[in-house]
Amino acid sequence: MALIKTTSPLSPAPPPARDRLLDELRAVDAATRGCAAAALGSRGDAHAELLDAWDTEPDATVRLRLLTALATHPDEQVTQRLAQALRGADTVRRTELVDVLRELPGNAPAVVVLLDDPDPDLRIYALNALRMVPTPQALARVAQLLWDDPHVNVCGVAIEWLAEVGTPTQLPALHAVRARFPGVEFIGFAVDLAVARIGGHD
Amino acid sequence: MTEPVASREPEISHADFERFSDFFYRKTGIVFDQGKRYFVDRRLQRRMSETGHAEFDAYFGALLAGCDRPGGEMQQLINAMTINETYFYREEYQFRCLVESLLPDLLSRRGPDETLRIWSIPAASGEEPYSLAIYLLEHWPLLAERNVELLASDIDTEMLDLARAGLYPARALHQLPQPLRDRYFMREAGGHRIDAMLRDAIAFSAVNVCDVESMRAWRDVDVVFCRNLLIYFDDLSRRQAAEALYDALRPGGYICLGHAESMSRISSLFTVRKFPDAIVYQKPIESRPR
Ligand SMILES: C[S@@+](CC[C@H](N)C(=O)[O-])C[C@H]1O[C@@H](n2cnc3c(N)ncnc32)[C@H](O)[C@@H]1O
Repeated sequence: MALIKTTSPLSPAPPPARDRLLDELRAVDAATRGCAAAALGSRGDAHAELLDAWDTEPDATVRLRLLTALATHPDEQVTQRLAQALRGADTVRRTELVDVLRELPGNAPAVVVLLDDPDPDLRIYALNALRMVPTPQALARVAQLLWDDPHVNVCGVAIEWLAEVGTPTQLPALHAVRARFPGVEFIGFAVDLAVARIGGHD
Repeated sequence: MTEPVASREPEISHADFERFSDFFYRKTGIVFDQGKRYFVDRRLQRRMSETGHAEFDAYFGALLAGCDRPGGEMQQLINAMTINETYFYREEYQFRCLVESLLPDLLSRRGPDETLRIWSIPAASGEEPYSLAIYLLEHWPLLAERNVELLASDIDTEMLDLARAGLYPARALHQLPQPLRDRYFMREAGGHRIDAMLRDAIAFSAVNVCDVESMRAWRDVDVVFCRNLLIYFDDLSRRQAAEALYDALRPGGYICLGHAESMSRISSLFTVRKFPDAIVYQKPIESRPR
């Protein structure tokens, strides 16, 4: 039979120095760039370089790895830059950013400012990036959208978020948004669901 | 039945719990939320008593100070906190998928003399890698012609010791057909001892899937069995683990997850492959620019 065992299956490579990893971040081979990103992420001392690499990285797989690396030891600056990157990014990159932003604790201040942006698509991405562990500030700002955001789809996403994490404090805003879009069926349904989940009664 | 709690058990406050679970998460990827409070507190209290600490702060300080020492308190704590439930022939359909679909595909891309490498991580007390060995011996005649290397790893060193010893209680064998029990096990006072030939065939090692540095040592794997681990992780540690396993795999290599785990939600690095027996995830043969 041929079940074989090598005593030391693979020799552990010594951890490469930071400079070498930074070089590898620009390697031709995507797999090398991805591994370098992971190694730099676990060191936690190359945020600026990882962010720069993400800006120009053409390979989607490597971009994901750069984002995971950045999320490993995130700080306020990383969160800020990733949130701001949502503004200029294309749809694919926006989706990637939303996935990672949701995982960053303390992302609310950086994300909530995007809710003031005139681009309704960006506001929707920002809502999707908000964590399911909401801060009072985030709850208040999202409730405010229900009072004054002109875009019905933005309101729809905001209602869905509140259905998951809202508290009775946001009930007046939920009723207000229904009144603002009286003819829009999906808003009515979403509000009913959110109100029921939050435990309020009409 | 509840265990009596001695009145002198050390106190663990809400803040202590938060501090501990945050630290433990960073080290292992394992998430303990408030719902796990009782589970965690009991184990922490036991470790504190065993190391002679009455105060959480002092214990935690000592833990941090000796954190990177091999075999130190951190390892004891990890051993105490992990959930190691496993048994022989768990989710057998995946082994069938390995033999019927994955191995033929892998072989079509490999030279006749090349060794295939299969990695069971987490292996817990060894039931999974031993099941793989038994399944291959029973159902894959090509094993006579090919070399297969079976690697088995876990973060819990106590479990790895059990795996190397290969002595199992009857309940670990409940899914295993009787003829296989007869063929591969010996009855002993303490239970069922697995055949020495199998014990010698598997390379056991301690590996933390969330430790990027140590994961760098693992490369050129053809199939990873990573079952019932990611359920203890949050989204980020799942993604980190998925990426580390991605690096460990050869292009075209496969990863099998537990039935409650789905890789599509975890990472878009892999391609979903639907085979007759199971859904598995494949590392693309070529890297995909976009
Ligand atoms: C429920 S068992 C699964 C065993 C087997 N794969 C199965 O499906 O039956 C989970 C195992 O994961 C291990 N584990 C937890 N965190 C780990 C980590 N970061 N790296 C490696 N193993 C880990 C635990 O020690 C435990 O033995």
